[in-house]
Amino acid sequence: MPSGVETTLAANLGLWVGFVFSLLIFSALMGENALTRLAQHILVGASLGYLAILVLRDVLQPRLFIPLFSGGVQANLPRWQLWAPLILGLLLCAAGLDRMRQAGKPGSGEGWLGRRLLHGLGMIPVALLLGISIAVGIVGLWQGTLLTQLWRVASPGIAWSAAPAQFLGSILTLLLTTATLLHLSVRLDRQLTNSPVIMRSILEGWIWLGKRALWVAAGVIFARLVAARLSLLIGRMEFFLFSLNQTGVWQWAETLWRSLVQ
Amino acid sequence: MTTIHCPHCGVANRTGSNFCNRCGTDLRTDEPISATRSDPALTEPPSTFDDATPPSSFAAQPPLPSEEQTPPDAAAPPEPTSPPAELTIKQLWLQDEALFAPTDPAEISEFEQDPVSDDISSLAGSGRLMTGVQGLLEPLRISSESGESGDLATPTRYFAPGIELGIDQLRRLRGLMTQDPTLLHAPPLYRPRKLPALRVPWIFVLLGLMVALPVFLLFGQPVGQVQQWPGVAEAHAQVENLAPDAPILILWAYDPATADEMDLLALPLVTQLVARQTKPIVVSLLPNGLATTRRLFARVTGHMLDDPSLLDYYIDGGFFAGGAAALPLLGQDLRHTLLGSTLGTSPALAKAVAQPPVLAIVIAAQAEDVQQWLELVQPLNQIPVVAFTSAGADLPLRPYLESGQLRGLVSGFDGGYTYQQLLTQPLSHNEETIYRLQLVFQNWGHLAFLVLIVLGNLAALLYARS
Repeated sequence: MPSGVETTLAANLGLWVGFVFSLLIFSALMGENALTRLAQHILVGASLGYLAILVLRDVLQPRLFIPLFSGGVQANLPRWQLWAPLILGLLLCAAGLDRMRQAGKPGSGEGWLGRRLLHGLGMIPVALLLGISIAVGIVGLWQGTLLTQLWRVASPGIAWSAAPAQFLGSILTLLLTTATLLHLSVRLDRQLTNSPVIMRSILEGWIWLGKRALWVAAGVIFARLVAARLSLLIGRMEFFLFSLNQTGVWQWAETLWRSLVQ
Repeated sequence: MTTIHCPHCGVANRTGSNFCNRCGTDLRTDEPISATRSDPALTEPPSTFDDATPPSSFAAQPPLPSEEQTPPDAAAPPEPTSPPAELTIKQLWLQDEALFAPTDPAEISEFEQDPVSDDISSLAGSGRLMTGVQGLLEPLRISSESGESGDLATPTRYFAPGIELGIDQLRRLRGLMTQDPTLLHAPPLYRPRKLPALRVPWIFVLLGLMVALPVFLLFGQPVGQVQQWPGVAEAHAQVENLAPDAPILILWAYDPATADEMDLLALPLVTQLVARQTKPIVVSLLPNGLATTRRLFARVTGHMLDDPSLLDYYIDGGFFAGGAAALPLLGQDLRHTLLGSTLGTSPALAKAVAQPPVLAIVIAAQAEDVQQWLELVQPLNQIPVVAFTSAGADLPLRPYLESGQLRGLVSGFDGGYTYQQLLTQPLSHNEETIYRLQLVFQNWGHLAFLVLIVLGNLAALLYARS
């Protein structure tokens, strides 16, 4: 594979910056320290700054400012549809900035009428954002997960003529699903105190199974999470051991170290 | 219902009760005791006082008038004016103050001169200090010299017969009397041993050492057998069966923060896409997502990062602001959504979105990104979806593969390795080496975890037994 990318000075600089920041973050193993906090602050600040520039360059400028103020209008979009987000965005920014300015001051919840009006108007874009996000999320959850997954579980997938493994899998799916739902929804000590002993025993066993199923699922998720984090750690170590080894500075440092040792 | 009255507090209890419901007094010995004032219990120190009680107070007691008059006949009935005999036997502190009051002037002066000790026994032995004990369940009241109410709110000093107590001493005394009794200087019966403290950084250091060990010792083993997860072959087949000019939509939902793992998954996919000369449209909800795309395509094709010809291999659909709430736009009207910008609309993008995509690929480090696509986009455009995710997102996404919403699922380094093995054009020797080292490092890391789990369980078992 060509390695022209790695040979450039910028790429080398990037590697070394990555190396230094990785060490700073790993220094958290020795306890909370200023170096770790410095690296975190730089990472968060750089990310937010990059995001702001990206939104301005790729979203606001081509989709809002230029169509509005340079005469160009987006296809199929009337002009008021561009003014609306601009006004709402300005309201949100103004109210948010004023709240930030007043935060921590005594009587920050009070103020002159204009300030309260500004805060009230600033709630409109917040309400729109929250309302739309929640509504879209609920509709999506219903149509993409709940309906389909419930149908999958409840569908008549248990055929007597099926292969034993498939039959057993269907039975287990049904059993574990119902057991987990029972465990999450039924409180034996409250809701079934007057039930017959046999019914209570069966339900207790069923709920016991659901509880264990949840624990097994949590264990599997944790194990896969460990594998994922191990991959990240291994990737960092490969970066230390192999990527840096290709840079000239590393070879220079290695030569210097050998000369010092000898 | 017949009741019996508690001889201590007077509360009516059901007949046959063993103890008083209010004060807990033993009601089983409610037969009149034939003991008289000549009973030795009256002339000897009560058993409730410990050894530190000055016996002088008892020895110095003058003979009670009733004692002189009562013949030592056990069968004699108790006098109606005197308190019940069992009461005087068991609860001596409720008797008349004269019973314990020192009468000898020398003793009185001794009590007046001695500083008040913290020891309760000396106080109890010196005379009646407390009234209204009334059983253990009632608040303790300490009487004043005048013998009234025991109101502790206003006075600053309280007096007992022959002794003066300060308010702090009385408070301490009250605290001692209301606490559970303890034996001084007695070793506790059971003191659990503390588990050794768990230092979380040590775990990370151990993991790092175990992962680095094969590097320093030049171990190439064990590679082991890679788990063949369902869904990998299906994902490969979905991409392999595409026509070269088939439009593909990719949601690139990872950035450099998780690139160390996700690159292993995306690398064989990008290799396959480049080999099949497809030109996917790549969009991202993450600000750094498309930079990662560019870096990976440059790595596969060997171009420089700033080489414009890199865009011959994929189409930059742009950073898609708005988060998950804006995702349905991609399912409703992809063309209008991606071409809405007045700037940067490349002819390649316009051509690519002219027809709807035939396959959607989600490359995500988190399961939520895939779930949101399946919930918000896929129901709208009904385009088959293939997911490439991290190992941690595997289990939440398995049900979607089972239900058919996902046509293929590749997860974790093992999924990426399996996918890479399916490629007709295998990766280079360097990439193959990286995959192999991943397997070795992972195995050593898992071994470290196993050791940690075994050691932790052993420690818990050993300390629990001890």
